[in-house]
Amino acid sequence: MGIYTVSQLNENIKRVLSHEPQLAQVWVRGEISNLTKHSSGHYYFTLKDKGSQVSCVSFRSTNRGLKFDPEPSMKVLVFGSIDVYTVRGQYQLRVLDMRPDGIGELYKAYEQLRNKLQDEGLFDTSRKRSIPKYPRRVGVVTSPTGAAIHDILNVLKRRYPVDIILSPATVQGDESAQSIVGAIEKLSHTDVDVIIVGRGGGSMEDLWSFNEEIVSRAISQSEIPIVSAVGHETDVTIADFTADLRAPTPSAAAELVVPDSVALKRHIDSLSERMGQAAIRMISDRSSRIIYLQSRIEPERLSDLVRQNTQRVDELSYRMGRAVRSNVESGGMRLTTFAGRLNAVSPLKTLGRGYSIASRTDDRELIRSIDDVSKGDDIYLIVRDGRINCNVNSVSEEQL
Amino acid sequence: METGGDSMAATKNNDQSFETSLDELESLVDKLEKGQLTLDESLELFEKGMKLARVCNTKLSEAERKIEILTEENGKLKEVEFSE
Repeated sequence: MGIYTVSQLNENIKRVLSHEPQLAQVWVRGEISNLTKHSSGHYYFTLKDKGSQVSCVSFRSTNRGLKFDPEPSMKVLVFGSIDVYTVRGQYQLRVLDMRPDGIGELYKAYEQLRNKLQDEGLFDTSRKRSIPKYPRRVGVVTSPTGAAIHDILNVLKRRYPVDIILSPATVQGDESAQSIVGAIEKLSHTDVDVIIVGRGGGSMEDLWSFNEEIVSRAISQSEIPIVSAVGHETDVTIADFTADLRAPTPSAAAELVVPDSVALKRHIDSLSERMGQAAIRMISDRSSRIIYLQSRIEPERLSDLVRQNTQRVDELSYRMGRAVRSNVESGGMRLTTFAGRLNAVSPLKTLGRGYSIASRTDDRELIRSIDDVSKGDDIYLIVRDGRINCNVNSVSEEQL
Repeated sequence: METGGDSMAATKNNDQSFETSLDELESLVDKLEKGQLTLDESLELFEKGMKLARVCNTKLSEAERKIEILTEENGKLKEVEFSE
């Protein structure tokens, strides 16, 4: 067996301990003492019970994830690994997670009150007042020196122009519940449109006033809508159940109670734009209708119409003239033909051959029979070149 | 709720709430877009709408708002300016 240096000894011990599976990841229950919160963000403390103690280190990376702020003499459950700090030859518990222990009693009270108020109907949706969309004045119940009012003011100032009335309250400690109730009551005498009640993050004990009955009753009795904003996202208090709206954090509450003025302006601009478009459309519809109607009554169109009709009249009269002329011409030819044919049957031709036509003088009736005349009647004969007046001497029946 | 009387009040005074003005502006744009109005009615609505949009924008731009804290003095509530 050789002789170890101190360093070698401690290194060996470190190797042995850190390879021991039973010590690699353990849960330990104890009470915090000698707590040092180093400026580096690391916590050093001793975890002890009645008979024993162990050094603990909780690095900044772990502390960032903790849901509460460790305090001296706080009872906690620590999850971690055994490690050796060789510089001092000291073994310690390296904390990986830590939870408050000994709040079992608080949880019990929480559950009891929650069930009681729930049975009374204080959490019913039908009881919830609606949050105004565009408040003019916002009331805030919180500590004037806490992180919450700072966050709320920041968000409200950036987001939307509202008046803010802070009703100061103690939000931690013995008197806090009564103080919160009083602050809510004071705001009921003002003309705020909505109230934010809350505080920044903390341990369950820190937030406890928001789990007290008088606070929940004051919230549910308020005439003005109330938004709760207690601690962080994961902290759910009974006040949150009673409030008209629960915000996960104070900043979120501020975002919930007012709209975003930038988005609103954009919305209003788009409304103006749509309005302009509608007006332009309306006017252009009408003007194109006017242009159409105008085109139908244009003088050029009218004179064109006249020109067209004039031409048609000219054409018709030309066609009519031609028709008449051709009728007249063909009529003349037919007349010549008829005259020739008439001439052929004319009695004048017969007279030329020696025949004559006899008629009674008194009535110019043609004489075709001896019965047409009596003795003494005046008659006349038409011959080729004239007329011969005669008197009937006698009539005798005689065949030719 | 949105009656003719309301619209009359809107053109006459800028004191109605932001919400009422914005609601009126929205319903007016809808009406205009349906396009079943006479030209005169449309132009009247358009003019009123432009006025409402201006009123809304002005209200949103009111930068200076009061931040006060409630204090009690001789049992009486007072609002005094709050600075962080």
